[in-house]
Amino acid sequence: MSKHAVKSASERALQYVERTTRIKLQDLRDNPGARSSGRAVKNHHNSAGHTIGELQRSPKPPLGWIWGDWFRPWHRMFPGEASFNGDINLRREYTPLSLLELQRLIDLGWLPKDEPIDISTLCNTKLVRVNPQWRQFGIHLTDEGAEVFAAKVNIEVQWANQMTIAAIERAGGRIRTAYYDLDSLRAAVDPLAWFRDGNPIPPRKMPPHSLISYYADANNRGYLAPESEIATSEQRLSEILEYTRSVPAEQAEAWEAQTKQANQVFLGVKPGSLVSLADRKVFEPTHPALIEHYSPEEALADHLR
Amino acid sequence: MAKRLSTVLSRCRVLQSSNIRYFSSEKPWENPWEHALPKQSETFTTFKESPVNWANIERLLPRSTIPPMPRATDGPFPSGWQAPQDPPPALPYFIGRTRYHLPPLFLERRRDELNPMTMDFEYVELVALKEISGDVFACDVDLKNFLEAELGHPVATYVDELKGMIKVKGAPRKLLEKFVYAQGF
Repeated sequence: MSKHAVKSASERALQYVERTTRIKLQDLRDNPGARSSGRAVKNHHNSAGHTIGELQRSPKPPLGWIWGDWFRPWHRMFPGEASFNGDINLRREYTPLSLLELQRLIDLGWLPKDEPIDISTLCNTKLVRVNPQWRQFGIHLTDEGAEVFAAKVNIEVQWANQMTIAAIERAGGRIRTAYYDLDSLRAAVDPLAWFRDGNPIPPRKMPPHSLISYYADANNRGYLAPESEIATSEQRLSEILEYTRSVPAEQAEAWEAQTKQANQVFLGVKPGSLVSLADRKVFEPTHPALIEHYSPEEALADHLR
Repeated sequence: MAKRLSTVLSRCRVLQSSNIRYFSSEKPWENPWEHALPKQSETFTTFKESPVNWANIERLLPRSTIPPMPRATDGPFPSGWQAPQDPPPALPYFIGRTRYHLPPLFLERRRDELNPMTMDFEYVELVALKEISGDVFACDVDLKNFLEAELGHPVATYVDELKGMIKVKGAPRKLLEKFVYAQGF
């Protein structure tokens, strides 16, 4: 049948379905942590106490159980207020890591010299743990120990304040703040487990609306800010806190080579690649649909607030 | 063990777009089922080897052992860490290090007493110094003198000779670490 100018609603609906990505019913699944099962509360014909033996051996009532109602324990008797902690399940957490602790890790040889330090490197030491399941979005580098910090590092964290940035730049290093969405973070915090499971490397999404301004700001050394603005900000910070900031050209070039792209989770590895530890090889898909999915022209933003 | 590539490829089926049939010359009544049912062809994606520097992947794999202890000659260390003296100092006791080459100082928060005014428990924060061998009481005497000189107020200690442990109340862990380093352990 040829295309007619006016299509019926059902034809248009069919077209949408045909052009949609390759989802089938069996591919639909919840995001990790979307549903949790409740604990079954059983009422065994109210026989828990007729005799002392029954009382001693019976299953004990659940926490908060008030006499009578098995489905309204004390902590569910009272109405909540949506505005009070209503967004508790949407809040972000960042694992704190002080500059002192970072310096200690470097002193004791946990972190490699002259190589970029990012969340994967820090989590691989197993002394710093970030759990995406608990809505921890990365590492917050605190300024405790700023006065003793003296290591020249190229570090990428998820949150840093001005004193921390100044401490790292005073020591001659480089700091950037970068956003990892929870799916990419699951790969980043345990790369070995991710590769062993045979998962393709996820594409890192853009920050959500509430975080775009943070990561696009040169003052926060955000990864989305232009390099020229960051250079200006570095000079301004060095003037304010009275230290010299001068990066030799070779050092700047070396750091440039060590910078990840905005959609990369691991340096030098394309999203969508499969890493085979057994073969010591990396494979990438050839189908254009998958290539477009993993490296879209317009970067996908995280759907959180 | 790494999964085989074939099991992973099976996840990558693609629905081919069926716009092509709009431009076919076949009339719909010749084959009505072709128009009624959308064409579904499953296309597996093939993979090709990606030219990647394997060092980038090796860097992502964790180390399996604790890094060896740095030599004292590599220092001074900006974090304040000090290597233990070799040979150990000539004292009647010896304070070992943890397997992470750090002084064996641990924090403890014990429940103290119920405050009847606030109906809340008050807690006491203790610092435990472990791994002490030799004359633990001599260590306790030295520790008390050091801490009281630094702080200016008395500190309470509890000595467990069998375990080689001293618990201290009233002194921060940083100060006890200073003591361990000052003694050369």
